[in-house]
Amino acid sequence: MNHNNEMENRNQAIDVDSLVSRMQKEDSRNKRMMRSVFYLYIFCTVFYAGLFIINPDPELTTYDRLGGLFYVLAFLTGTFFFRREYHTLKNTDYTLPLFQLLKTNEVRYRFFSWKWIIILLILLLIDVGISLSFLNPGRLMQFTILEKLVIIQGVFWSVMVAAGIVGYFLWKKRSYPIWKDSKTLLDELKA
Amino acid sequence: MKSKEEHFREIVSAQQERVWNICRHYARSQDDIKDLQQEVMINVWRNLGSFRGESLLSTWIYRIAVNTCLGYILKENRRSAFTLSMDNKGIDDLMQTDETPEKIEYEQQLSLLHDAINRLTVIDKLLISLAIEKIPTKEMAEIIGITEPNVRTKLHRIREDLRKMLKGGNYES
Repeated sequence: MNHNNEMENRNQAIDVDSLVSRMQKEDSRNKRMMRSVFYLYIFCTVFYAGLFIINPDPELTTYDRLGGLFYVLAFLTGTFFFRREYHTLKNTDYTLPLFQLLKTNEVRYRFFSWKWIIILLILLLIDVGISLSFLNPGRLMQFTILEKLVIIQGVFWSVMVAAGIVGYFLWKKRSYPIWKDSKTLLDELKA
Repeated sequence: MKSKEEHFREIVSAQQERVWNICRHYARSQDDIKDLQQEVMINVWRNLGSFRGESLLSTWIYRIAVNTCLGYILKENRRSAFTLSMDNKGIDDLMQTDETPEKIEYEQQLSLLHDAINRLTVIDKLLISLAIEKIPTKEMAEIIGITEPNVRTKLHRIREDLRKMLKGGNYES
């Protein structure tokens, strides 16, 4: 029994899970995700540009084309945003002096940041695109314009809020411990 | 032109002892120190390409060692991670033992000092570990990223705190 406890303690102690390692692990995961989303957004930009803007189909209405333009704008913004995020993660310097490293961490791993403005802009552009597509007089004809708007906004923002909540829990599990440790140490250094 | 492997091998042979000296303050057993040292060396290898020679190589490696060891302290018990070795000459400078009356047993003093250091905050422990390794304040400032006067002020404050704690310890004993 004692031997088992000893082994367990030893194994726990040997598992060197340092702050830098945790950062590298988290950054590497985020980097992979950013790269995948970046390629997805490139694909969506080209796909929606082809489907709604370049497509000569005479049945496409002005609503469809305008909606498509907003989709393309949203995905193009996202492409640049995720490309920038990927390069930031790729060029992260883990050898910075402690104070600078902690300061960078405190900003990088916090939940709310200026990035939310870009993400919100992308969502708003998609929202306008979806709304225009469905406001097309030929679609959902049983509803009035106001009813259509309420349904579209209700469904779209419910899904987005749900995604945001999932994102919050993922942040809480993965990034929050790094943020909290960095913030604590930074406060100690500033004291 | 040296290959990355050759460069790394040179670093390992030249800096291994310094890294060991930093790591030994944060790990409890020889195996743990070895693991922590290995972790630091892995981080050196991973980031070797980013070393631009803006600081001394030793300072850069100390930075990696400090950043790596800090995470280790955070994972382990924050209050009992620091280890003092009796053979360390830097401890004399830290507590200015030449002023201490000889009648006080060195081992008892070391034990009290060890307890006192473990009551310090993580950052204070870190500064003390660098001071014990006799790293100049200028280099400490570069490692931590704060100004040299700030390092001196913090070290002075830590020394005062330690003295107060030791006085309390002696009084109680």
